[in-house]
Parts: sequence; C-alpha cells; structure tokens
Amino acid sequence: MFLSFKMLSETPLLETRNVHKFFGKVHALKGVNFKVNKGEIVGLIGDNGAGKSTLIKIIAGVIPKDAGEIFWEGKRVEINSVKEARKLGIETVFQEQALIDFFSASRNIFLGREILTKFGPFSFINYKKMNMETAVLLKELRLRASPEQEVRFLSGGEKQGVAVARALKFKSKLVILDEPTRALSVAGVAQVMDFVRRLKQEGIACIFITHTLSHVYPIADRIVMLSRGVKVLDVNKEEYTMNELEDLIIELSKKVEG
Amino acid sequence: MEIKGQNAKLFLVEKLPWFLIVFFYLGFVILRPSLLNFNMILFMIYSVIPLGFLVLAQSICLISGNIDLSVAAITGFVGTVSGLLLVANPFIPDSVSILLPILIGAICGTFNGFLIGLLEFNPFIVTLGTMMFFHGFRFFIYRSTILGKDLPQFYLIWGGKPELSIFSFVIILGVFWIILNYTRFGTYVYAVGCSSQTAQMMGINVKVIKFFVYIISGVLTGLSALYYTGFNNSVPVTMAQESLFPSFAGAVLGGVSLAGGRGSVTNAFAGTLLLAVVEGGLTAFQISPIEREIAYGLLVIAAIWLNKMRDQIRDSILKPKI
Repeated sequence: MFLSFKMLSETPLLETRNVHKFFGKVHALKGVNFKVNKGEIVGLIGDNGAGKSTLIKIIAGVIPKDAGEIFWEGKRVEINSVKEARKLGIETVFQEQALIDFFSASRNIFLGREILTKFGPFSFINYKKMNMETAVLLKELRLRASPEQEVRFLSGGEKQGVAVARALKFKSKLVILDEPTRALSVAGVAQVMDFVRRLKQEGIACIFITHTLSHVYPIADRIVMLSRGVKVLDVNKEEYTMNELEDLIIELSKKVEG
Repeated sequence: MEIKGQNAKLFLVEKLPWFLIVFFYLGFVILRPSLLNFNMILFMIYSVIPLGFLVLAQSICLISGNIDLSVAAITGFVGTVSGLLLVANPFIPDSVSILLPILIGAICGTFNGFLIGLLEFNPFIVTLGTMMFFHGFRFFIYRSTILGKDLPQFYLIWGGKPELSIFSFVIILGVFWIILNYTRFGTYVYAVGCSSQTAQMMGINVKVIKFFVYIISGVLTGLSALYYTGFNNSVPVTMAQESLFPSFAGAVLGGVSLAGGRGSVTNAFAGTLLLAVVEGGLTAFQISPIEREIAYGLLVIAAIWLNKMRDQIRDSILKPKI
C-alpha cells in the first residue's frame, strides 16, 4: 500500500526510455534513459558532442527521435513539434536563438501566444496589455528592462531572463535551458541562477545544460552526465560535494577517451 | 526636456522618407515656383500608385526575409491574361472583372509561395525563374496592346480616376499596415524575417508564413496590373516592364531592410512617392531619361547610406542609458 502510493507520487514529470538518434552514420544517442521529476532541477552536463543538445531537441520537439519512448506525467507521448511540446508544458530556451533581436521584450515573451482583442470578426494584438503583463513579470525577475525595450540592447543574462519570463507567464511545467550561462559574465551567471531558483519556487522543473559544473551545482537537485551519447552519471547532488563530483566527471571523461 | 528632444529626433528618423519628400519638393519649388501646384502634386501621387502596389508587394517579401524578382513580370502577365479574358467575355459582371486580376495574381503568387515556402527553394532563384517564365509567357499568349475601349469601364476607373486611385490605394495600404503591425500573421512575418530559425523554435510555422507572403505579393501584383491598365487606359506591350528595380528602390528609400525583419509599409510608400517627386522634378527641368537614371542610381545609393545613419541614430536613442 505504502509502496504503491510512493510510486504514484513519484511518477516522473518527464521520462525518456531507451532513446536513440542517428545523424547519418553518427550514433548521437545510444539508448538514453533520462527523467525529470516534478519541480526538480536537473543539471545536464557533458562535453561537446556528448548528445546533450540532441536529447533536449528531441524533448522540445525540434527533431524526431529514431527509437525509444517518451513519457509525460506517466503517459506515453509523441512530441512532433515545438508547439506540441509547449502544449504539454515544456518551454525551451535555446542558446542564441531564444529571442527575436529586433522585437521588444514583451513581443518576445508573447511570441506565438499574443494577447488578442476581438474586433468584429477580426483579432488584433493588444500591445498595451502585453506590455503591462510583461512589466509585472520583469519586475518579479528583478530585471530593469522596460517591456518595450528591443531585446538586442539587453545583456546576455537579461536575455535569458526574458526567455525565463515566458516560462513563468505560461505556467510551464518544465523549462529547458540550453547552455544559458555560455558567454556570460560572472554577474550574468548569478542572475541566471536566480531565475532558475525563481522557477523552482513556482514548482517548475528545469533542465539546465552547461559545460561548467559550478554554474549548475549550487542550484541543481540532480546531476546527469552524457558522454558520447551514453548516460554515464546520474546522481543526487546531496550525495557529493562539488569537488567530489568534479573528480568523478574528470575520471568518467578519461574513461571514455581511453 | 531632453526626453522631448529625443522623442522628436526619434520621430524624425523614423519618418525620414516623408521629410525627404517635403525636402526635395520644396527644393524643386524654390528652383521653379511654378511646381507649387495642387494638380501637380495630385498627379505625382496618382502616377505612382500602380508602382506603389509593387513596392508594397516587394516590401512584404523583403520584410519576411525573402525577395520577389517576379513582381513586374507577373504584373504584365496578369494584365494581359485578365485583359484578354475580358475582351473575350464582354458580359462578365463588373464586380467579377476587378476580381479577375487579383485572382490570377494570387495564383501566380501561390506558385512562388509553393516553391519557396512549402518546398523551401531559394527565393532568388525561384523568382528569377518565374520572372522569365511569366515575362515570356505573356508574349507567348499575346504580342500586342489591348486597348482600353475593348475593356469594361468599371475595370478601368480604378487606375483611371486619380482621386479613386489614390483613395483606394491608401485604404489598401492602411489594411496592410494593420495586418503587419496588429495581427499575429504580421508579427510572424517580421519574426521570420528577423530570424527564421528562432521563429521556428518558437513554434511559428515558417513555411506557411512564407507561402502566404508570396500569395499576398501575388494579390498586390494583380492589383498593380488592374491600376496600370486603368492608368494607361490599355494593356501596353511594355506594361510594368521597367518596374522591378523601382520596386526595390521604393522599398529601400523607405527604409525596408534587405536583410529582412525591418521596415514599414507606410514608409515604403513614402519611398515610392520620393521617387515620384524626384522624377517629377527632374522632368520639369527637362533632364533626359538617361541622366534621370543616373540620378536614381545615386539616390538609391544615398538611401542605403542614409538608412545606415538612421539606424545608428535610432539605436543611440533607444539604447538604455546606464
């Protein structure tokens, strides 16, 4: 009885089982089992070409998997497009492609889900309302940017913030951040960590991809490492100090190379 | 006080083509006061309306990050086919007669859109191909002028009566301005033009957006054929033949970016008017067509430089001060 209750309550938010992906002759993912629990922050690490981006692109509906299954809240799903992923509650922030540079923060946040006002048979975008809601979101994330600011004028950290605001606004259940701290200043990294903490407060789960363990260790619940398309590490953070984990990662990397 | 000054500056750079029109016109008037004449202004605007539709078509393609080399050729083709159909069927009702060029234009646009949007072929090459195809096909079908007296009166008044011509164009321009600025579709056109990859990632169906952009371009090209026919009171053999480059010139003078994602259709129309003012002025001074062409070339090059300056000023104003 207790056991079954426990199992029920621990149905992962997202689970991939035995997922494979080929790019021509390259076997990019070799049967990856990966899960994210509700409200959990998972640090996904690994070298270039480890398969991190491939895995999250499959989850985000950008590319199809070649084999394997994906479960969302316990149900088997096929995610064929970004739209379908969004419908499930998966919001992805792709590095450098997350925002339209010449659009304002508010237009970016609402892109694809604009607030419309009906006018007879026609629907028009209600910029005023979008700007107002954006102002609230930006304030919540402690961003100084104005809603009407074109995002190309923002710093790297602030840009991530705008993308995260999108997830907050639309009550996503899972946010995927693809190398959000790449090319960011120290202050920018701290800012992004802050955003992720904010997501966690709202009970939103997060996959945080990075090369650098120190960028994700302070906020992560679990650390998963991919190497050449294989999951080589999947541990709860509490079980290791950062130094221990770092040593482990170096060891694992060496093993694969050797 | 400083904010006010900045806003005025921003307004100036964002409406630059309109100020240039006034600047050039006043320049010509100072040199020749007889040009200060309401009928003269009316005619300048009126004569540029058919081209205005092509600039609009080109601008929407450019904003979406594409290009349409076939606009002028399709105009000639649509004008001819639609004219011939009307000559052969004189009892076609009035309302249908004006829908004919729009429909044929839309079909041509759909062909472009299918290849560029849905099959993702290169827009430059596709429209180069359709440009040659429609240009050739027009002469393959019919090699001479269709006279206005053989066409229904209702078909000719749209481009034939200056007031109606200008008024209806302004309405259509307004509709497209609203579509581009206040509808989802319009926002997606800009988004695709800025970065089709990001747009795709955000769940926008880039293929479908491009497909519809070319259909719209086709519809506007059809309208251009209708207005050219009325303006000329005939479908001349050379109809719209030299309108391709002016369609780009108007758009660029209006500040539409060839890189996509930026520009406004109202400014693009201002760019077209600017061409008309310069043409009108140079004609008044009996500048030969060859010299005029040189002037246009310089004007377009100046426009690129001006746009660059404008963007720099705009950025320096919009950039948040820390």
